[in-house]
Amino acid sequence: MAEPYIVRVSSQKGGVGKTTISVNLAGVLKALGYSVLIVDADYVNPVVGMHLGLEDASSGFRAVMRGRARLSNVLTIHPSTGLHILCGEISQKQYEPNPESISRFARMLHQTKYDFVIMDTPPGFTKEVFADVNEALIVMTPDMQSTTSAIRSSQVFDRYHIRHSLVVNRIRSRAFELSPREIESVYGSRIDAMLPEDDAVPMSIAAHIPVYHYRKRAQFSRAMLDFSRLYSSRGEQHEESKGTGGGLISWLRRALGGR
Amino acid sequence: MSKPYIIRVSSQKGGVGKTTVSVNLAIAMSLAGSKVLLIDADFINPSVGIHLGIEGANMGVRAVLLGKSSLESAVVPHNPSGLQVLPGEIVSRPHNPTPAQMSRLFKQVFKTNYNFVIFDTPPGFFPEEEFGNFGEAIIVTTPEMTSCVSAVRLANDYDRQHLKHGLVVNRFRNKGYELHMREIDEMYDGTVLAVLPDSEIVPIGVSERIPAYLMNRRAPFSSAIGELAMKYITKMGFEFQVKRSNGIFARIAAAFALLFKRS
Repeated sequence: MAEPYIVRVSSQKGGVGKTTISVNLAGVLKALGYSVLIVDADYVNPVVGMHLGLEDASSGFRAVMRGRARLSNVLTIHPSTGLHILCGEISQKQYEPNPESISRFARMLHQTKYDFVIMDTPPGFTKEVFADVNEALIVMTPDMQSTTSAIRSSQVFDRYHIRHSLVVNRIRSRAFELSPREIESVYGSRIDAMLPEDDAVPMSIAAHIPVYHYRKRAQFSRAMLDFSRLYSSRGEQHEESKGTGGGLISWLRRALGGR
Repeated sequence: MSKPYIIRVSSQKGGVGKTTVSVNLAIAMSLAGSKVLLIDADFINPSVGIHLGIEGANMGVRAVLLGKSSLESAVVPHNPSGLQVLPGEIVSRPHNPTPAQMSRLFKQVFKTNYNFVIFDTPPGFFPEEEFGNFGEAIIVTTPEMTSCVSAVRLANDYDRQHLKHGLVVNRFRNKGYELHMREIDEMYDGTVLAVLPDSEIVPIGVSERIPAYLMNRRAPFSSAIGELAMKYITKMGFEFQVKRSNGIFARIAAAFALLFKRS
């Protein structure tokens, strides 16, 4: 059986929309018929549960990380979308996973039967942390502060030979924003998705469902759908390269950090 | 001489507006005649320089922490406002200061004669052994559930450390899907210091390198920031030693400050 395609959603700056992108990418992929697991690996500030109205759900990220529970026992299923979610604990106690438990966790994820695993991560440099992924999705907003930190994240991922993509969120197309061209010229590669600022996003959070399920025709939903289609083909390519047996190509791709 | 009053601008969740609040508050205080030092202590993602247009400054908080430079020589003036700034360095490897380095920084800060020293901080919690519990903390939040829950967690942590704190609600739009101010009051035990309306002059200010408060002082955002600055200044009982030569704006600001003090 094919391994899941693991996407780590990250940004060095906070509040740019990591959780929004995680939940909505997962939501659209699920709506397209894939089986999807969301892992709330933001152990600093886990809010996936809040986005989906699962605050009271059993939260098991720490338990699974510590090897005290099996993934299947602590999973939550989101009622209206059928998404599988490993929620994080909202607790006063701070938690910092050690590298060992992270690599054990990553191995475990690779053995699951999902098509996609979407990991929401804490802001900042969590470099070695969650390095064993197929792709890192860098989320940014079209302003200077966020661009600077996105470029720095991309450098970190390059250093660790992790394939990365760039999503620009909350685009309002105003003169004071950085233009896509400016962002691409600093990033050195194409922007993978441009998502508009849309009131449907906070409204859907208040309604506890992904935007795509809340309002299919919202601008944000359409942009997210296009982006997810791109992703679903990425996941299939990934399976093919695994399927040809060599594994050489994917190894080479990883070794060269090729985009 | 009295020690400078330390204000730590913090939040556990990122992107709520810590730097926006620190920069504009510092400028408002400075224009009202206080001596203010703004320290970019966001070691993960320093952006005070971007807000103020002083990215070029090479020395900075890192040099002071490492003992390579004294606080005095690393401070850069922000000319339009008279604010003094200790900028952070944008590097691809973050620098996490040790408790010893932080206490050296604080020691130097306490030797200065600023009225206020404002710390812009990285998102997250603040270990007492690094940041101490000097002065007070502003917790910045946006009127969303996700952000308010993390604000309350940070407030609990401050209570444990016996650090005084107050809440600033940023990007308030008064929309139905936002949390109502009453709900925020219920969640948060302390005082709500200010409610800052969502305003385009903030991102415009960043792109123009002129902070919103300097760009348009009559905008609702700026007047809310101005009020917050006056709250601190009057609370600390500072006399306004605004010289006549400081120009019309400073005089008007000082006049408002006096009005505020009386009311």
